Amino acid sequence: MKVFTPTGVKQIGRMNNVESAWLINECIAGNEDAIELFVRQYETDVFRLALSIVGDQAEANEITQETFLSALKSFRLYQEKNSLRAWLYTIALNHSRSHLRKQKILERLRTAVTTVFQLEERHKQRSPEDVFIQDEKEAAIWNELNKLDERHRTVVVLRYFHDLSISEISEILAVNEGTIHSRLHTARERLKRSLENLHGE
Amino acid sequence: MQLTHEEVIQLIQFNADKAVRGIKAKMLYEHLKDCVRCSAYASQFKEMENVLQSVMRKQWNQRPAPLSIVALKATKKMRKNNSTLLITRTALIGMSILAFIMLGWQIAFTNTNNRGSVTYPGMLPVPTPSTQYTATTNTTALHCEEIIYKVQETDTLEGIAFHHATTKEIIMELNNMSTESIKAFTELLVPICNSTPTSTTYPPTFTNTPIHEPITYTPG
Repeated sequence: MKVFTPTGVKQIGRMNNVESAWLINECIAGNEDAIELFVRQYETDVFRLALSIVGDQAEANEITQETFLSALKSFRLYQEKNSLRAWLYTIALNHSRSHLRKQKILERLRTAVTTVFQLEERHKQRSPEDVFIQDEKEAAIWNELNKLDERHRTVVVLRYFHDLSISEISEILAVNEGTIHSRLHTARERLKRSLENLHGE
Repeated sequence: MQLTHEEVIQLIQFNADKAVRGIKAKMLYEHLKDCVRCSAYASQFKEMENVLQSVMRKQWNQRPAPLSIVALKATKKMRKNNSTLLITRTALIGMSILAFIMLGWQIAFTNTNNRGSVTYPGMLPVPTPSTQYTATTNTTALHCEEIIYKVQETDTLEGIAFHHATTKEIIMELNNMSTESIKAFTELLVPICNSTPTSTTYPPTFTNTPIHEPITYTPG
């Protein structure tokens, strides 16, 4: 998709700061083409972030829509010193987490109701979507990844799936870089151990 | 300066986050060239990273359902309407609750007014003549008269009250007395109440014997 930007016509790729600023201003102004461009640029990334947190495609689509809605509403609050991607990711992460919380509350409610009325518990585990994994190594890592608690899993996913730098992750999670390092270290140690346990080492 | 194995392991970790530069990076590289144990760790580490990335891509490299800008704008408008709807709804609910509270208050208030007398805790409410029973039953009517009693030398207020089946408070009130002291050979108004069985229908009419025509009574 070609677009006219201040620096000339270009294909959508990674935008530099000038182009980001221009795009944002156009979006605030209500320029529909700019909005379209903005959404197309980031919707896959946002979707994948949501998917990696909630694990369900339908929910991830919902979250993506919500994220862009929030972003368009609060564009004025965006400060240009942060990276646009990081800001958008923060919004997406917040929406994903609130979805997760709602899921947890529903789960607790369901367990409460089933225990009170002593209904038969339907073993409907909310497990992340399982694409058929042939490799036992992959299975082991995947298992261990889902066993990690939310904070550790999120840093691993942001670092290895979204290829974000430590400073970007620190910005998104609003946590200092030392904490990011230590969380990554712990998570990686556990993941590595899970591989070793496979071979009974 | 030599790196210890623990330090090397730390550095491998930091290196994975691209946080190792300059001399340290070189030292790390040199150490790994010679140390079998640490290189084994490094390769296991690398393998873990690779598997991790590949499995995540398999799971999550999906394409989203493309967002339609039109739908986005529509949701934006709907959300706006929803928020005003919510406000009006909460306002309505709030106001109706307030109305209920005020109504309840009013009812309670008028109830106490109808009683017409102050009720103390533990006391049964005294019905006023207007809210008397309207039934036809065999009941007893209270028929009271006031008599003039001449106080004797050995009388006490309590004694007089007891003798006439009344209370000293009633006597005091009737005679506008501020103290309980009585003087001999003075006159006191004392109420005499008889309960006489009647079969009249209610509401009864209380006959208050006019004070200005007392029946003189002297104890025998």
